[in-house]
Formats: sequence, C-alpha cells, structure tokens
Amino acid sequence: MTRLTLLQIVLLSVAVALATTVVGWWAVPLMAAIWGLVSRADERPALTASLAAGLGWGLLLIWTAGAGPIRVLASRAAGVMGISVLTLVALTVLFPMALAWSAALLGEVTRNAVDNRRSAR
Amino acid sequence: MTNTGDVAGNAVNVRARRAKQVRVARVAWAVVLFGGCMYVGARRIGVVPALGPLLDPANGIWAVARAADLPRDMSAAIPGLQRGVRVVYDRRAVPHIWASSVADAMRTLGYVVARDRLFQLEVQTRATAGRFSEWGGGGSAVLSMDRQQRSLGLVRSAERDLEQLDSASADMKLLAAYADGVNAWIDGMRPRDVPFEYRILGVRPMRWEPVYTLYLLKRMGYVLSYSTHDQVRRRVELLIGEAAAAALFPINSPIQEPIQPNGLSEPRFDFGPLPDPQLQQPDQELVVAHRLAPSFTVPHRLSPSLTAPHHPSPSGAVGGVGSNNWAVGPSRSATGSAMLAGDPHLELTLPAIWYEVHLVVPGELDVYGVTIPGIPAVVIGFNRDVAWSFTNAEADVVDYYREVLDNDEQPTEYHVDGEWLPLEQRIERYLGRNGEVLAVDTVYFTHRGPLVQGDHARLSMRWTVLEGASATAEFFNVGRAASVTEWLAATESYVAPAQTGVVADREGNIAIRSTGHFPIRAGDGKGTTIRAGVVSQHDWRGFWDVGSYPFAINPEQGFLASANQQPIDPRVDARYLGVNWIPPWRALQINALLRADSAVTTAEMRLMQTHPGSARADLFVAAFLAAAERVLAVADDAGLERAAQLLTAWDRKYTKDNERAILFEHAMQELVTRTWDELETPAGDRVATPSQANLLQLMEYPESLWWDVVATEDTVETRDEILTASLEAALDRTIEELGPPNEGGWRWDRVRHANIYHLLGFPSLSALDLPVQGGPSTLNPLSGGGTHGASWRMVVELGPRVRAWATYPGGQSGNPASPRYDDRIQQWTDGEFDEVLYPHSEADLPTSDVLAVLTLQPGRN
Repeated sequence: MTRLTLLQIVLLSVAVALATTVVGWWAVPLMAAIWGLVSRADERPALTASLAAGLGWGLLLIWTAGAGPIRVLASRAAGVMGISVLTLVALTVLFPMALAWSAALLGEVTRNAVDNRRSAR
Repeated sequence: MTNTGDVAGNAVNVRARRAKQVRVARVAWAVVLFGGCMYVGARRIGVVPALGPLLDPANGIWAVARAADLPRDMSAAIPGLQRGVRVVYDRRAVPHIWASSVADAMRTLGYVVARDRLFQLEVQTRATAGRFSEWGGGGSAVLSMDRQQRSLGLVRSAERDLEQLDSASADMKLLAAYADGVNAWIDGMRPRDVPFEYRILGVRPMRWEPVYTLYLLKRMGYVLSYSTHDQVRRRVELLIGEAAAAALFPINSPIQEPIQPNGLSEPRFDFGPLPDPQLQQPDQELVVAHRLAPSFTVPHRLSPSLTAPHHPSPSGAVGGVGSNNWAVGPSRSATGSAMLAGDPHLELTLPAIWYEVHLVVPGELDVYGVTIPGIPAVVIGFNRDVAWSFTNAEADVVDYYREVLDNDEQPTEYHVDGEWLPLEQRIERYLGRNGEVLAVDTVYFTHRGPLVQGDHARLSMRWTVLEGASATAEFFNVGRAASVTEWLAATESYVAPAQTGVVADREGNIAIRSTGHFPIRAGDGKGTTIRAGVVSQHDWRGFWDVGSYPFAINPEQGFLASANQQPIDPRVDARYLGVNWIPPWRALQINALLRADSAVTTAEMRLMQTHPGSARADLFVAAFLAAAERVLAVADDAGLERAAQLLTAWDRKYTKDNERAILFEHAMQELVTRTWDELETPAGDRVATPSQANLLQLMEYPESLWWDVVATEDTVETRDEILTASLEAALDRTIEELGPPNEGGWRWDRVRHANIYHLLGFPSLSALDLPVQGGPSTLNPLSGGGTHGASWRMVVELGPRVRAWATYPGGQSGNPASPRYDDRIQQWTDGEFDEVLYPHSEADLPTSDVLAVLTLQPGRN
C-alpha cells in the first residue's frame, strides 16, 4: 500500500465521517460510488472506499466515546439486540465497509464500461 | 500435432475467459452485496430495524450516548413563552424551574419532561389510546391489547372532557402550555436527542396534543379503579352459593382499622361465623364464564402496566401491593411540627412513573414533588406551607348492567323502561405500521357507558372514570394551597380515580379525606351484583356529598394514616363504599408504630417506610404454632415438630438476611390452596381468592366446613389439620426448592426480589433481581413477581424551614445510557433517602449543587 493510497484512505474516511454526520448513513454508498467513478489513479477503488468507510465510522465511534458513556450504551443496546458488544461494534464497522466496497466497485465498473464504450467509438 | 502458436493462443483465450468470468462474478457479487446492504440498511425486517440509521455512529443509536449527560449550560427557544425562564438542575438532576407566569412554568415543565422522558410520554398515550399496533411488531397479542383498551371507551371520554373545556379555562391553558413545551422539545431535537427506544422500534416521535394529558388521567383511573369484580363474584356464587360468596367477599372488612379514626385505640376484629359453602355442580354458565374471563395476558415485551389494571381479580391487591401515607400532628412529633410521609405503590418501571421537579412562579407557586410525565402539575409533594400524598381509595366505582339489545351481533338499540333507545356507535380502526387497516371494531355505548362482553350477555359498564372532568386543575391547585383547609377545598371537585389524600400544614394541622365520586346506587345501595339494564331505576342516583366523604382533621390520637383499607368503620357509617377491601395489615402496622411513639421523628418515619415487620405474620404465625402445639400434644410428628421449631425461631421480620420468612410464605400459600379448594373449577383453577383477613376470621371456627377438603370424601378435615398439613408441606417444599435450613439458601434476599422492567420489557434496559427488605403485607410490600412496589418515598417536616427527604426506584433520565437513568435504585433498595434541595431562589443553590443550567427564551411560532 503506497503512501498515496494511505493518504487517500485517510482523507476519504474523514470525508465519509463528515458526510455521515451531515446527511446520515446514505453518505457511505454515495461517496463510495462517486469514488469508484472518479478515482482513475486508484487501482483498487473498492478496497480504498471500504477501508475509508470503516475507518470513517470508527472515527465517529471514537469521537462519540469521548462525548458520552458509550460503554453503557453499547452494553444496553447489544442486550436489546441479543448480540454481544463486540458484535455490535464489529457490525458498526463492517456494515459501511461492505456497503462502500460494493458501491465503489459498481462505480468502477460503470466507469470502465463508459470508458470502453468511448474507446470503442 | 498442434503447433506452439495455437497452444499459446488457446492459453491466452482461457486466461482471458477466466479473467472475464472473475470480473463478472465480482460484479455480480458486488451487485448482490450492494443490494443486500441497501435493503437491510434502509428497511426494517421483522423486528430488526433498518441497520443504516440504527448503526450510523453520528446520528444513530450510538449518538444516544452523546445526549446522556446534561451539558453544564444549555439554551433553547420555546414558541409562546412570554418571558425568559431559568431552569437549574441540581446534583440529583431535579429541575428547579423559575418562571414569571404559570403558563411559562407549564411550557417549561413540558419541555424538560419531554427532554428526559419523551418515549414514556408516547408509550402512556398509546397504551390508553390502544395504538400500539401502529408501531408494528407484536402481532395479534398487541392488536388484541389495543382492542381491549379501546373497548373501554377511555379515549372517547377524554375527548368529551376536552370538548367540554372552555378554551379560556385554567385547565385548558395548562394543557395547551404543557403541549407547547413538549412540542418545542420535539421540534428542536437534534438527531442525537431522539430517544433510544424510537431507534430500536424504527419509529419517529409523535407530537403532543393537549388531549393526551387527559388520556393519561384516564389511564390512571384505569390502573387504579377498573374492576370486573361484579362478574367474578357471579362466578363465585355459581360455585358456592350467594350467601357464602357474600361472606367471603364481604362489604365490610372483618378487621376494622379505618382511615377515619373510629375512636378506638386498637383494631377491632369482627369475626362472625362464615356460612358454609353450598357446593353446587358447576353448570355450563360457570365453565363458559371462566373460559371467557379476561386473562390480562401481557403481550410480548410490553410492561404489564400497559395492559393490566391494578386489580385484575377480586382477590385484593396484586400480590400484596398497596400504598401508604400518614401524617403526624405536633402532639406526637419530636420537633412539635407536623410531619407527613407518603409512598404510593405502583408498577415499578424504567423509566420510573414519577419525575421530580420544583416549580416556582414568584407570588403564585412554589411547589416541589413529583409529576407523572404528561400531567402539568406536581401530583404528590409539598410547598412552603403544605405537604400531601395519596393512596388509592379502593372504592367500588364500576357497575355492570345486563342489557337487552335488538340484535346481539350488530345491535343498534337497547331496551330501557319499555322503550328502545339508540346505541351510540364508535368505529375503531386499528392501523398497522404502514397505515394499513388491521382490523375494524364497533364499540357501542348506552347512556351508562360502553358495552362489554360479559360471561353470557352484553353488559354496559358505568364507571366514574368515564364521567370525570379533567383533574388537571385539582392537581395544580393543591400545589398552591397555603393551609390544610385550602388544600381540602382545592380537591373538592376531584372526580376519579378516588384517592385518599393526607395533608399537613405548617400550622400543625393534619387531615385525611377519601375524595372522588362515590356512586349512590338504587335499591340496597350496593354495587356487588350485575343489575338489569332494562329499568332506569337501577341507574346511579348521584354521588356522595363532599361533606360525607371519609374524613378526619386534627384527631385526638395525633396522627392519621391510610393504607388502602376500608375508610370508614361501618358502625360509624354503614353506607356502601366498596367491597372486598385490601386487608388492613399495613394499616395495623403503621398505627401500631405511631401509637407506640409519642415523639416521632422524620428519621423514624423514613425507616417506617421499609419496616420489615408484618401484622399479618404476627397473627398467622401464632395460629400455625398453636395448631402445631395442639396436634403434637396428642401425636408424634417429627416433620411437624421440625417445621414448628423453625417457624418459632422466626422474628417475623422480612429483613434481607432473614432465613425463616420464606417458610412462612410457603405455609401461607399451602394454607390458601388447601382452604379455598371449594372455589376451584373442575379444571382446578381458583375462580377467586378471598382476602387473608377472611382466612384469619375462619381461624376462629375450627370445625367450619370450609376447612374440609372437597377431594377427601370420607373424611372431614378441621382447622388444625389444615394448618399443620400446610406447615409440613411448606417445610418439604422449602427444602426441596432451596435446600436445608441454615445454609443460606433460605435467605430472603435470595428468594424475593424487586424487578424493575423497562417499559418495553428489555432485560438489558431493566434492573432485575434487586434484593429488598420487606415482604407481603409489610409497609414495603412487593408483588410476587417483584414488579410492583413503592414508586416514590417522601417524608416532609413542616417546621419553620420545610425539609423533605425522598427517593424513587429509577432516575430522572429516560436515556438508558445516562448515569441518571437508574442512579437512585441502589438508594431505594437500601431504604435510604436524599434530603431534597428546596431553594427559595436560584442564588440559594450553591454552585457545587448545580449540575446544569437551561435558559429558555421566547421563540417564534
């Protein structure tokens, strides 16, 4: 993983975190799809978007932990859902990763299809 | 042979094909994954909410943690507010509201209550309105609960009450201002402020309407006074005959320790003989009746309080639940000031039913106490001059009438005095989560009230709760009373549910009164039977005059107390007020403690509220031991001797470490089962259980046929045989369930717990298996499941400076992540209190006692 890729992941994760805060969870597939569409320099845009989404939501979790009793909440919420705290945390990170990976990949495929059609002309 | 070029070309083609296949598979996987993630992210599947908004760490369930603590300084704007309001939260998270007008105080109260208890507000509203099915989930059980609730006509009654309120009336202004406050909070909520439960349910909060306060008041009436006693009594009559039924479920308690002092310095035991059971072959009517009996089954994950009334059967309170209050005058108080204690017992829930608050409008209001979220007033509390508390009056305020209808299936008219009168019809539509119609019912009303399904006929129900006006003004006005006299005047117009209010003032006056509409009935005046609806002569004739309510002021004995017992000694006033009264065990205990103490202190009163002693145990243990002694005098019985020795060693207290109370409780259960076998149906279910005051009464008659076990046809059992058999069986059962005595398994705190369930019943949001001091019929009783108990404890001293101590099982916040969600539970289980802060002004509150400050300003509509 190059420094550039790392930088891309970090910047994208911050963008995901900010966008999630402003518009909600829809920001994840939206930003990942856009990333897949426009990131020609990134050889693996789906992986980048996926890692950035997981990191972005992870950052938000850390921020929340600093702003309130997140352990108590996690314990109570996990209990309500019938899962362990660890599973709840993992779900919170893995869900945006899966969403971002698939959205970015579809974006990339779309971009390639458009590029191929253009080159065929 | 193939040449090299062909081989290479084929290999390239294979690789290209494979690469293409991988790409296609990857894309297909991405499509499936994306579609799946979007689906579970955006849509609720069964009971699992949409994961996107739920897991979103900025705005979803995690965000609830960010709203858990009160920020030190907060500000907001409320539309309609006339002037700025300061709210100072003290270290116990109690908001002290300083407003310049009553309307502003109520707007602010609505705002702060919504901030802390928004979900509770809505749950209570939906419970009354029968609108849980709109949240989805729960299936037919929830729909069934909604249907039962709507059949009672509470919403119709609340709507009518609201229509009758003048828009310029004080009541209406209070309701509207409160609604403004609640809605100001809802409108200004940030994503993090949406309560936890809404996220789990995947629903949004609904706005608050003034009528919802009336719903809540109707709900109080339902919980505290709804009864099907008349119908159950009929089933008992079918089993044992009318005379025996009347004796087992009597109009007058056989133990008289009335609320209104009767001049005696000790309780009176009116223990006449019980008529023998006239056992009858259970007929089809009873079989059908028992099958149709309301089950009050609690639907999945909903708190029992949302479904069941306080009295699901005529067997007295739910598992020994009951409220206490008492006041001590200067002649018996150590400081020479009047003192008051109150602990209403209700279902214990998280969030708690009560919310503690201090409301100040200079020159008009300076009241401290607890409100129920949804009511724009302090319901129980004190001000600078007066303190008060309530217990449920337990009066009979529900009657049933057997109606003759023109058509049983789809009636349009009912018959009264030779005429057919039109039935009022109300169409009830039950909506699902997406607005789809799940069911449609027609609820019919006669002039008496709603038609309900009886055992064999359609019955109309007349109930004071359905006829009462809003009690908002009464609850509000008591907070402004400056003396006992003013307090009594403020409650005169109170209708339902009937309550016994005890009040004390700074001048040293104390008073008690059971207040509410008590029906005057036709004929013998009793409300114990289902009456024929075809004649209007059977209708209620009016209500008792306020002047004849059970009442006492400044009695010679120097104290007044109530614990849900019969209010008036029938030798003083024989008019019918109710039936099958809760046994006065707690009243006996309170009165005994107060009579024995001529210099009562507030510390003693606080200890009394969790006193481990039991008048019931004192009386029944003596009966068990006397029977054992008589039996052992003529025969050897090692098991009985051991059981008697163990019971003799009991100090008759329900302390946490007590290792004998459980033996007694098991013996009582055995005794009840063996004694009242005549009340069992062929299927083995007991139709109803007489009160244990009647059981004590029966002790006086050792040869009574009630002691005989129906199943043993060749022998006739006597009292001592049943008592000793019960005791021996209790010992066997206790050993079997808990191990041998003296090894720790019998400790009271291992067998009896308080269980405080969250409103939705989620264990992780509940406080369960809490060890507490107290047992059945002590001053700190718990229901069998530990779900009911002291919902608020308060002791007030009305000296030169008013001082008060209080606690309740829960916390001020409804946010499960908040430290204020359940921070008082440990204190409550330990029987301890906080001295409350009752400052004259904001400046009176030291900075160290200030948790947060909220500044409210007028906002735009």
